[in-house]
Formats: sequence, structure tokens, C-alpha cells
Amino acid sequence: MRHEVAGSETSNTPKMRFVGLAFLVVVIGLASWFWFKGGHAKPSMACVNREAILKLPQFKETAPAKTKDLLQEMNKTAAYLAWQHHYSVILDKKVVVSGVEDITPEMQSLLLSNKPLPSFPAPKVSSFVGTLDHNALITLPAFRDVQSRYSSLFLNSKLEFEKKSENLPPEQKQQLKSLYETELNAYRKKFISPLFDHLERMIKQVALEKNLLCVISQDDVLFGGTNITPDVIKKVETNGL
Amino acid sequence: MVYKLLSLFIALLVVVVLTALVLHANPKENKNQLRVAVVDVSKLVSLHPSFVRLKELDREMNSWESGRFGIAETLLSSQELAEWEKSEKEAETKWEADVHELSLQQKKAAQSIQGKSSRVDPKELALIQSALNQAYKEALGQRMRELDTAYTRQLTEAQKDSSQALQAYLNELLAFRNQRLSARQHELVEKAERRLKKHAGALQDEYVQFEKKLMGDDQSRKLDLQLKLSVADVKEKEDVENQLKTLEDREETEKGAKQDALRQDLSQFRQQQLDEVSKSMKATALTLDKEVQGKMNARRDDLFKASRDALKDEQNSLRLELADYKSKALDIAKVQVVERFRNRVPRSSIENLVASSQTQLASRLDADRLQIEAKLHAKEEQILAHSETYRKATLAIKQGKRQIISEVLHDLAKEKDRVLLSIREDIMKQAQLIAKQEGIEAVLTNVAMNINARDLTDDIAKRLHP
Repeated sequence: MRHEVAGSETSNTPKMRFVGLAFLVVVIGLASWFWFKGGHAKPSMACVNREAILKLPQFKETAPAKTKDLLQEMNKTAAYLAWQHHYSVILDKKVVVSGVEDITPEMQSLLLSNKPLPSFPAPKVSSFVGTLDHNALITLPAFRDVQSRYSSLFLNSKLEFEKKSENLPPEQKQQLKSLYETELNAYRKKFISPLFDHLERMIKQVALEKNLLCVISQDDVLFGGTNITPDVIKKVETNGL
Repeated sequence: MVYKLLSLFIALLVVVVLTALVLHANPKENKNQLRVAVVDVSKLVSLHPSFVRLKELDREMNSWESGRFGIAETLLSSQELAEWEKSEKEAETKWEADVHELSLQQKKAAQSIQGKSSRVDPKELALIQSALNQAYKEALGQRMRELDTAYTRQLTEAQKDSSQALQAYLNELLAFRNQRLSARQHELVEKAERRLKKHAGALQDEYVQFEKKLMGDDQSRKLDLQLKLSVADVKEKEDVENQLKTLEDREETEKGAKQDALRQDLSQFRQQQLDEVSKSMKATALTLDKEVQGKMNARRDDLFKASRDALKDEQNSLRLELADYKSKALDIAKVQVVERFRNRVPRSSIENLVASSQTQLASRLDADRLQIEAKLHAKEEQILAHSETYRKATLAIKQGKRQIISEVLHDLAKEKDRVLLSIREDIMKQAQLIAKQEGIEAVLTNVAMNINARDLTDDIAKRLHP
């Protein structure tokens, strides 16, 4: 009897273990299926042909005042796709030479459907690509001042040249023109180039601090990337140019 | 036993799946796992062997472009300008006549209104009507005179400015022409002097040779005679001396003749040189005068065109102002008439009359204004058509040329795009090959700053220039 009981215990335990393990395998299998379906198997970088998107009817037929809204809509759609497929950065196709998935058709069909996007949480952004808004940098006071001085110098030179060269033969006119160009180049070399060199060093410092691989212009990024513009501006304001 | 083995297998499977999940979880968030490279495509384009072709195409396009824009617009010739101005003046006279006719029509309109008023004494009504017309005419006439004076002043100023500018330009051109002419004269005289000197040297050499030859020919005869002279008696001596003298005289004569001939030759040559200088100077002066004339014509046409356009604009604005002023003139006339007849006729009657007259006159004026403007417009169209015909004749030739240039530019642009595309494809192909070999997942270009990414530019450049 005891043998029977023992026999029955020994025969039930592995069966139960097998059932338990099989259940575990099914659960893990399902979890992994959902995981992969969620997009983790795809690369975390994608690109979109912005030029092709801008040729869509809604961009072509929109009044210039509303284009900004549409561009925001485009960026929002990019963010949605990034969330859906777990892309950490979506670039403009013109900066991609090879190896990045092109999701232009998917984006086109989303934009053409004119359906509102479902609500989605803000997707994670990658930190290996830095982005920089050049327009924000050139409006810094130091740049503005030097730029306005250069503009007035350029304008004065132009007017002076036009006045002096009015009755000159072509050869002398060309000589006078190159004289003014040399003067303007010298100004650029003396006052503008050092500013840009210094700014470049600061951008590099920030990028190194943030452990970035490279820095791309904000205009070439539809979604993601680490925007280092505020840090660069802060550094410029602290250290000066 | 079977269950044990199966359990073991499943446990192993679980371990494998879990490991795989851990390894694949968030696979490319870490920068060390995502291999990104950068490449400077614009630099590579400039290093590509086909870049030379691109530059060639650029140069070719530039030359075609400059040729295209070098075609100057043809201006109206002076004669046509005079014709244009004549027709413009005619249109002006016609317009003035139309304005006069318009005032007559206004008078008629006012007369027709007269019959419509019954409450006012006909005499008074006639007086009112006449006063209204008179006041209107005066107000309009005064404004017309003011505008006319302003326009005439502007016209005179524009003409004065143009002629001053032309005179200054002519002075400059003449000064330049004289400088060039004097430089040319200096050059020609210098050349002629050099040639003359050379020729004189040659003549001198010729004379020396001649003298040498002459002396050589007579040398033996002279010696013979001199020997005879030394041994001759008195009677013979005289004879020999005569012979010797004859010989020397002949020599002198021949020398003199030669010298004369050479002098004449030199004088002829000098004259010839002077003629040449004079001829060249005349030709240069003619060319320079033509050049001055051409430049003057072009400048004059430019100035006339500019001032004509400005005056035409001014004329149009004056016309518009005058047209606008007509309604103001009516208002002024109305105020004057109401003031004048206030005590003689009931105010309401005058106002009714004036209002009705004003409305009718205004509508009539509008209609007439439109008619006159349409006529003026037609005239302007005619003037424009006239100048357009002239332009068309010259532009028709250029049109064909432009068409060809535009087609060539289009083809060149297409060819440039094709070359650029093939260069880019070449670069992308090389980038893909390197990326595949080195396991690089993404290759980017147009990067603002590369910090730690692998730069493939040099590697691709080496492949492009093995």
C-alpha cells in the first residue's frame, strides 16, 4: 500500500512539474511575442523623406500661415511612429547614406488618412545623436552685433563701389571690386571666423560631456535626438564668446 | 524518466528564452551597440573623378547664361521717340478737347435740369444754373491750370536734367576721345620717325656704295693721267690736266645727281609717311567719333526712356487727380451758388436744384469720364502697339536665340543632375560596402559635428582613387 502510495506520488510529481514548466514556457513565449511585436527587434533609428512628405496634397494646398501647424503635425506623426516602433530618433532621409530604415510610406499613409492620432505616451529619446538649432545660436547677442556691423560695412562698401565704379572701364571695375572683396574677407577673418571657431569648441565640449556620437542640425531631425542647444547657449552665456 | 527528460528540456528552453530576452531587451539604446559612421558627401563629390565634368558643365552653363543676359534690350530710336512724343502730344490735345466738350455737355445737362424745376422763377433758375456752371468751370479751370503748370515745370526740369546729363557725358566722352587720339598720334609719329630714320640710313649707305664704286671705276684712269702729268712736257701737261679736270668734273656731277636723287627719294618717303600718319589719324578719329556717337545715342535713349516713363507716370497721376477733382469742383460750385442765392430763392429750392443738378452732372461726368478714359486708353494702346511693333521686329530675332539658349541650358542642367546623381550613387555604394564589411548599421552625412562616430570619408576617397 505504502509502495502504491509512494508509486503514485513518484508518478504524479514529474507530471505536475511538466505541466508547471509547460505553463511557464507558454507564458514566456507569449511575453516574448508581445515584446517583439512591440518593436524591439527593429532598429532604433529610422528616416523619412521630408521632401516627399512636403509634396503631399495638404502641404501643397495649404496657405503659408498654416504650414507651421502641418509641420507640427508631421513631427507629431513622427513621434507617434517612434513610440509605436520604438525608434529613438527619426532623421530626414537626406542625411542618411545607408543602413537606416525608411518609413516614408507609413508616414505618408498616416498623413493621407487624415485620421486623428491615438493618444500615446512621450516616447524615449536616444542620447547618442545630438541636435543643434543653428538659428537659435546665431541670434545670440555677440553674433547679432558682429553680424549687424558686417552688414553695414557690406552695404557701405557696395554703395561706395557703385559710386566709384560708375564710369570706370571693366578692367578697373573688376580691380576695384576685388579690392572691396579683400577688405570684407579680412573683416570676416578677423571678427567673424574666431567667433565661429570658439562656438564650435563649446559645442564639442557639450557633446563630449553628454557622450554623443555626433551632432546633427535640428532641421534634419523629425523626432528624437538630444537637443544640446540650451546647454550650448548656457555655456556661451557663462563663458562668453 | 520521460517526464524528467522533458522537464529538463523545458527548463533548458526557459533558460535559453530568458537569456535571449535579456540580450535582446532594448538592443540599440546603448551607443556601443549601435554602430554609426559619418561621411562628408560634399567633400567626396569634389574628389570624385567625374567632378571635372561637373565643373565643365558649370562653366558651360555660365557662359551660356552670360550670353543670354548679355542681350541688351533694344530701345526706341530717336526718330521713333519723336513720333511717339508727337502722338502723345496729339493725345494730350485731344484729351483737352474732350474736356472742353465735356464742359459743354455739362452745360447742356444743366439746361435740361432747368425745365424740371417749377417752383423757382425761370430767370432766377437760369441765373442759378449759369452761376453753378460758371463756378464749376472756374474751379475746374483753376485746378487744370495748376496741374498744367506743375506738369510743364516737371517736363522742363526733366528736359533740363537730361540735357545737362547728356552734356556732361558728352564732355567726358570727348575728353576720353581726345586722349586716345593724341596717344594714337604720338604712336604713329614715333613709328613714322623710326621708319624715316631707317630709310635715311639705307640711303646714306647706298650713297657711300655709289661713291665707292664711282671712285673705283675712275681710279685706274686717274692714276694713268696723274702719271702722264708727272712726265709730260708743257704742251702735253695742259692737255692731261684738262682730261683730269673733265674726269673730276664728271665725278662731281654724278655725285651731285646721285645726292639729288637720294634727297628726292627721302623727301618722297617723308611725304609718304606723313600721308600715312594723316590717313591713320583720320581713320582713328572717325572710329572714335562713331564710338562717341554710339555711346551718346545709347545714353540719350536711356535718359529719354527713363524721363519719358517718369513723365508718363506723372501725367497719369495728374489725370487721375483732375478726374477726382471734378467732384470737388462741383461741391465748391454748389457752396458758392447756395451762398449767392440764399436771400433770393428759398434755400430748399436751391439745394434741391443743386442736388439734382449735381447728381445728373456727376453721372454724366462719370459716363463721359469713362468714355474719355476709354479713348485715351485706346490711344495709349495704339502708342504702345507702335513701339511694340518696333520691339517685336528686333526681339523676334533674339527670341529664336533665347529659345536655343534656354534649351541648351535645360539640357546642361539635366546632364549636371545626371552626373551628380551618378557620383552620389558611387559614394553611397562604397559607403554601403564599407558598412557591410565593418558591421556599421547606419551611415550619415551632413553632420554638423562628428564627435566619436567613425568617419568613412577618407576610406571612400581612397576607394574612389585607388
